[in-house]
Amino acid sequence: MRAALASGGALLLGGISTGEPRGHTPEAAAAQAEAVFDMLEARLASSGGGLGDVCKITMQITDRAFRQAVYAVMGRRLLGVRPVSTGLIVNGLDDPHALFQLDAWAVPGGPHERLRPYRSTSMPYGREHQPFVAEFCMAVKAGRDVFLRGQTGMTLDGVFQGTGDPGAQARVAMANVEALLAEAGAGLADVVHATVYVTDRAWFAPVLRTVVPRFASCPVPLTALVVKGLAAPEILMEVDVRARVG
Amino acid sequence: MAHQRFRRFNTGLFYKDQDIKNEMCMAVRAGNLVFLRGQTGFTLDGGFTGVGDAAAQADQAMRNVKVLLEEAGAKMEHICKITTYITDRAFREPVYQVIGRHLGDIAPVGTGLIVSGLALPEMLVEIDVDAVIPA
Repeated sequence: MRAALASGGALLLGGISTGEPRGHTPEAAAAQAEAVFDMLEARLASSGGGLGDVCKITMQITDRAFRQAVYAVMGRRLLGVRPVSTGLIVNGLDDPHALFQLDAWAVPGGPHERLRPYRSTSMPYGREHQPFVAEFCMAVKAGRDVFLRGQTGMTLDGVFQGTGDPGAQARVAMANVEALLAEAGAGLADVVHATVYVTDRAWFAPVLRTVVPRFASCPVPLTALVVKGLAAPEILMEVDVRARVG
Repeated sequence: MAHQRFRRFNTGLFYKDQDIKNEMCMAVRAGNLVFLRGQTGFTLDGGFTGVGDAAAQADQAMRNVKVLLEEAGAKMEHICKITTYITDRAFREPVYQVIGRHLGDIAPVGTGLIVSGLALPEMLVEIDVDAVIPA
């Protein structure tokens, strides 16, 4: 896979994965993750940038059992970078032997503005505390571009709401989106694309009924996906929003 | 300047059996950036093509991509990133062959995912495209 430099905009590093080493174990997933972050660093360096340019990462794994191992590697490799992150558990990746795949968006001229930085160990996800150390933030403002962490039923204060109720989780997620955009100097009218992830097709109706009317006056292109899982089993939906201040 | 929004539509057009009626759009142009709705076997008129045929759905999706990019003032060669979602690994080969035929030597960044489902059960593939118009 290649990296494409968008003129004056974000560097898109997509679908980085490796099928080596083989195996279906957390150890193999961790080793693959080390190789993926080697590739990420090399690609950033070859375009004249560095890890500090990274704004958003989407971590894709095929089994929840790999999450801790892969995130521990990410936390160490991106220490101090504080990207926003979206985490997906999917049925499969491009390479049938890959256990982990990474998408990254980088904007030259880092470190950029990182809003609401936090450490994974001090912030629960769902109802559990996370057992790995990683530094993230809730929003990155890189010039005109605004990247948000994938938003869920967890409030910005770290309280998980709407257990078993995807519509209630979506209401929290959208309140977070609006609050974070405002803190980044943007609004819903600046949103250029939204992706809605649900863990069951039945959740589309309650989630989209909550999410989409918020964009009534400024319609957005939307991608809707059913995934195998999100960061924690009680998280039933996640919304990813990308904005550009007009 | 406000972002330009192309082909506003109501989701009731596509999701006839679901009580979801929302105002959406097919493409947004923000300065030199162009974002598209994830494209599928749905034509831009709301008809569904390629039931049971992932390659035919991918072909329709890529035709839509070309039309939408051009309406937004961009071209296929401005595509930077393409994300391909399929619901079964068996669709990978036929779908990627179709995408490759439409992309030619454009060589964007690519991400491929096999997911549990898309918006409707008959959708087997969805394609997300980001494009940047060179300054």
